[in-house]
Amino acid sequence: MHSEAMPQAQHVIFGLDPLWLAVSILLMVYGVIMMEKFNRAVLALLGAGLMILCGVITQQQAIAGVDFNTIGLLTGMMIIVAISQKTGMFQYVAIRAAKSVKGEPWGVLLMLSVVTAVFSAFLDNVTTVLLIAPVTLLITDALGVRPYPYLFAQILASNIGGTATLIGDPPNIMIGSAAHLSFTDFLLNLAPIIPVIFIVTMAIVWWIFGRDLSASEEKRQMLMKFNEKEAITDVPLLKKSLLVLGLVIAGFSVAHNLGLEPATIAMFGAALLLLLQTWGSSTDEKEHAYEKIMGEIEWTTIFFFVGLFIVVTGVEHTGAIGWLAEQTLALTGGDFNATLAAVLWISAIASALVDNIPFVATMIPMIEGMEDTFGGADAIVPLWWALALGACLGGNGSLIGASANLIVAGFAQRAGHPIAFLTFMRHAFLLMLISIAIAHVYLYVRYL
Amino acid sequence: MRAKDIMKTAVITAYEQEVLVDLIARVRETHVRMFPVINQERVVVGAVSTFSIMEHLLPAYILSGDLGDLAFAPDMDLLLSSYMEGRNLAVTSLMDAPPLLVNAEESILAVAAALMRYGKHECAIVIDQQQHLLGVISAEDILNSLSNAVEKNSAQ
Repeated sequence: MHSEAMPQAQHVIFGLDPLWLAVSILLMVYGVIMMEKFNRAVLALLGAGLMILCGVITQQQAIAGVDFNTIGLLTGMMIIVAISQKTGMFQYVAIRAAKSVKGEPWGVLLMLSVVTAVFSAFLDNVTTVLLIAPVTLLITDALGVRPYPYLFAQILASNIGGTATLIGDPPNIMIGSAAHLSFTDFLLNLAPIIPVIFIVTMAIVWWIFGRDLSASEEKRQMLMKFNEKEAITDVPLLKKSLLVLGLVIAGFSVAHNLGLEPATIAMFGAALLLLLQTWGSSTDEKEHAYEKIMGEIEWTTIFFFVGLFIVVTGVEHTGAIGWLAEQTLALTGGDFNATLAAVLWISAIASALVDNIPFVATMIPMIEGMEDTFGGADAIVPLWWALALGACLGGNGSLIGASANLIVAGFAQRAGHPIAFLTFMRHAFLLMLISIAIAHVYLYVRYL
Repeated sequence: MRAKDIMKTAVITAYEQEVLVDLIARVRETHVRMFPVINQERVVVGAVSTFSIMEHLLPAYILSGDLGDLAFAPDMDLLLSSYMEGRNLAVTSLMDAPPLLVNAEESILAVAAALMRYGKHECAIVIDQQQHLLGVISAEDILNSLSNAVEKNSAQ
């Protein structure tokens, strides 16, 4: 994704203008992705193929454009989560949290939201809600309360929590890799504002839903009968998973100082956990376990990223993104405050309405293109935080704002409590705008 | 051999005005696993089975297996709660749609194939042209007919 190192492609098909051709391919891919009629990985790979076949970029340039740090970090964490989730630790924590407030309905909502936010900060949001949403439905069934407020709060919590760390949300992984920002950088710069946003959001959720939640003593007693210890299905694997998760998070914290990329840490952790998981098993059992875990990696997401990186590289190569950066700067008069505000708010609104991954993939080279105007890589770091806050928190704006939102909506639908697009957006969009306003104040006070 | 030759005509049915609690009582009383649902004119309007009752009692997020073996949940309390909530639910809202209906003149092979394709429970409902209930055929009935044929062959 760094155009300055790239040689020009030799021949663009039919002598077409490479800029218009590349932009057309990008818009076509994004447009069809938004229609949700075809698999997004297939579309991104088709777009990537077209960039090469049409002569916009060469194969070498396409490969150079793939950010293997993002790919490695995603894949490594997927393997670690795929193994860890088999231990039942996520169900254990969710039930323990719900019981800690004696089944009081608002307390349960709050605790499950805290659990979701914390897990989302250290695992990907989709995995977190995949594990927590079904337990939530079981708990709300036991309490005899409608699940919508719980699932609504969980969606918000997953996107807010995911904003806090480098590994919490794919946009952060992409930003961290492109801008060489470490796990600690994210913790020191984004995590401090997340509790504030979370508390304000939950206060409003209480105002909207929490005041009316109630459950009979009998129903609360039923919740107290849940035995969280029974959720743990494999104690030795749980110990190994916690050990590796701890090592990986510690590794992320020191990786930057050791000159290591987070992908190296994640992939090493994944390999170590694969080894520990099958320690003492027969060769056949080991092979079977490896194949099973490899099958659980979300390859669609991985290939989507690969295709997307190549498509954006093609557009970047033609100078279109540089031109867009110049236009943005012209619009903000080259003023840093105005540019930061534009990046934050545009990212938030766009991420509420379209997939934030392709949006961030396009924004990254655009922000990189502003380095010279604002005095170098260090000077534009607040813009990266604005992009991360906007893209991650913006996902709360609508039901299609983030993949995790759709996962929760799917569970709600199957449980017979469908979440309507507009019903969700009526409250969620406003809450998203409030969170962005808080983020704006934070960025202004801390960096401007 | 035709469906009418081996079907059972003494059929235990459910009525469309009945509710879940009636049905569960009948399962316990008769040990039957599938009931044709008929209206007052004995026209078949559907079928309910122990499977369809279980489908109603178990929420989709449990059926999907997303929660694993659920050893941590108070299972009978949850089932009881689900039963108490749905006990007055009309039988018609629990019916398998569409039910497996076969014609009295259909061959046994066709009925067996239909049973295998349907897969939900092991009974087909035999009806006439106006969809009146004539009888039921189970996989067991077909296998019993086969056994009879084997015995007959051996005797010859």
